[in-house]
Amino acid sequence: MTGLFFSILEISITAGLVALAVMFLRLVFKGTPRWISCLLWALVALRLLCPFAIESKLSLIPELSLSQESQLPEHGYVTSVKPITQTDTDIPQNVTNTIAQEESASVDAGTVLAIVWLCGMGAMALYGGASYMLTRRRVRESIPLKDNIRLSESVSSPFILGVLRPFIYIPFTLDKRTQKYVLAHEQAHLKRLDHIWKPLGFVLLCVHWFNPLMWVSYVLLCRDIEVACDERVIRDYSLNKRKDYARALLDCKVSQGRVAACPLAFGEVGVSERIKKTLKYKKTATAIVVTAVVITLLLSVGLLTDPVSGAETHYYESSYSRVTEGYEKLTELSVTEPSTEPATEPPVTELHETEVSTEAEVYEDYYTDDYYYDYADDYSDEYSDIEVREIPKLPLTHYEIVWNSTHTSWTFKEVDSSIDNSDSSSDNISDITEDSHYSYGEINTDEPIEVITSPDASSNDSPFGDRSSGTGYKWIVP
Amino acid sequence: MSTPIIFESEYRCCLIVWEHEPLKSAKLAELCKEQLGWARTTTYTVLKRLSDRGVLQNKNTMVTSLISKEQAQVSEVNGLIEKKFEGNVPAFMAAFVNGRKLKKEEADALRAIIDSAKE
Repeated sequence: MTGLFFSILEISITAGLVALAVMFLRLVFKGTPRWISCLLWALVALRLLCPFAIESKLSLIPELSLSQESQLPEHGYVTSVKPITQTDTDIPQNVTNTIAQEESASVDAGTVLAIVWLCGMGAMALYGGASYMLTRRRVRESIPLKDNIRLSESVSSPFILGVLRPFIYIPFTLDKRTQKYVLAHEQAHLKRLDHIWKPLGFVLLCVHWFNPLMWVSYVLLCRDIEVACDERVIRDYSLNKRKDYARALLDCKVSQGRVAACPLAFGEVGVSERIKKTLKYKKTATAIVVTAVVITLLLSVGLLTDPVSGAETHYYESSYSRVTEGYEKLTELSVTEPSTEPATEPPVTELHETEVSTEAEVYEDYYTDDYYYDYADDYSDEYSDIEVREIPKLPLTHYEIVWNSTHTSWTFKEVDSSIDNSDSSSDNISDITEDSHYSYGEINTDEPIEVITSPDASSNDSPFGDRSSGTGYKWIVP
Repeated sequence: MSTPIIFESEYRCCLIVWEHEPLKSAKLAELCKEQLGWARTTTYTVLKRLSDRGVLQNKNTMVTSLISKEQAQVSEVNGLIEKKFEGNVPAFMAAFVNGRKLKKEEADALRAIIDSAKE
């Protein structure tokens, strides 16, 4: 749970940056139609919805070093431990025990924050659900006018309720003239699918309720939706019709508390701004619209992707790529040894994470590809002084990747399920330990080459070396 | 005795009763669901309210009206005259007749109403 919370926190911070960028762009795009602003908010929503961001060189997001380290100084790797417990049932008992111990030790700030987050989310969801139910109750005596339009005497301003089967509710008291414009407005909402986007925004706000930027974003989104909808209606109106429309807006004006009271229905917000906009409305030149859209699309590439080297933000992907690279190098070296037999089967490896198959595929590609020989030659020339050993055929072994607390390096932990390890300590994972049942490797990202030794005497099959012969070998990291 | 107030949506319910009375309350619920899209419980709530106010009557699940459609309409029009014409019936009639052609039977009906109007 704590891990999930910190993942959400990470997403929230990144999305907050995107939201700031969008707020800035809204100002830049001031003269353009408002649906472009809605498009920009969609970027924020995408960012919030997508747990794994794609890395790209074009990313505009600065690399984040998350405050999580300061909050959890000794358990920086909690985030990487969490998916293991969640996804893999294969973990040997002893390891789960260790993890459990680690986590119970961390019943501290992190857990408390996670609980607070859950409570807040529950409260928000309850509020949203309750106000939806209350509004439904309020309009249950409404009567049909035509199609999906219903008249109700208990509503003071028109709104849309319902996501799957939305109905437009309008008060009895509206005169025919006002009614016509109100209906045009609400029908435009339905055409734009706003009755889906707005609740979606509220759901995301429920999850990220702790982020003030998300509250600002939600309020601005609601405004942009209304203005964009107005623009759609008055697109083809003459000035006189726009005046009537503005009057209709004024007639239906309601107190500002309305949106807060019923987040899932349409309240009318920012009426004075909208009236002014309606009267001043001018069609934007197509060229400007096209330019704005192109800029939006270009920026969306930058805003939706993470920086490539962002090791901290998205540890899954970066750790995977680096582990895979490490393995490749390891195997290369073994193959270039003259006395080595032709490469035997690729080591059967399972990682305690979700993307085992991807890993296996990388192996397959590597072995069948010519490219790998050239690559290996390069390395053997450059590092000709490195002792190169044959890699023995590996037994089916489980490995686990553990980040150190600052996320600057990771250790590679071999888990031997056949031996009871309950007494082993994993406090010292960043060091190469003398523990007899684990093999640790470490790659420090600051240095290109790191010597890996194996303290593991019990297993000569260890990929990290052989303790009895006192040898280890180098693991080259780009 | 003044006619009790009937609100708009209640009036729609009454219209169904006036058309079909006497009818079973279950039948009324069914008709309301069909024509107004009301939930069964909503109909029973409205029925209860109207019975309390003395508009309808629900005896052994048989629904009948205590106030006729005409009474309700008259009451509504009186309300309008009070509100918009300060109770001035001639002004109301002038406004009503003004700008529209009355058929003979409509004029007769109007005359009958005026004749029947007492202190």
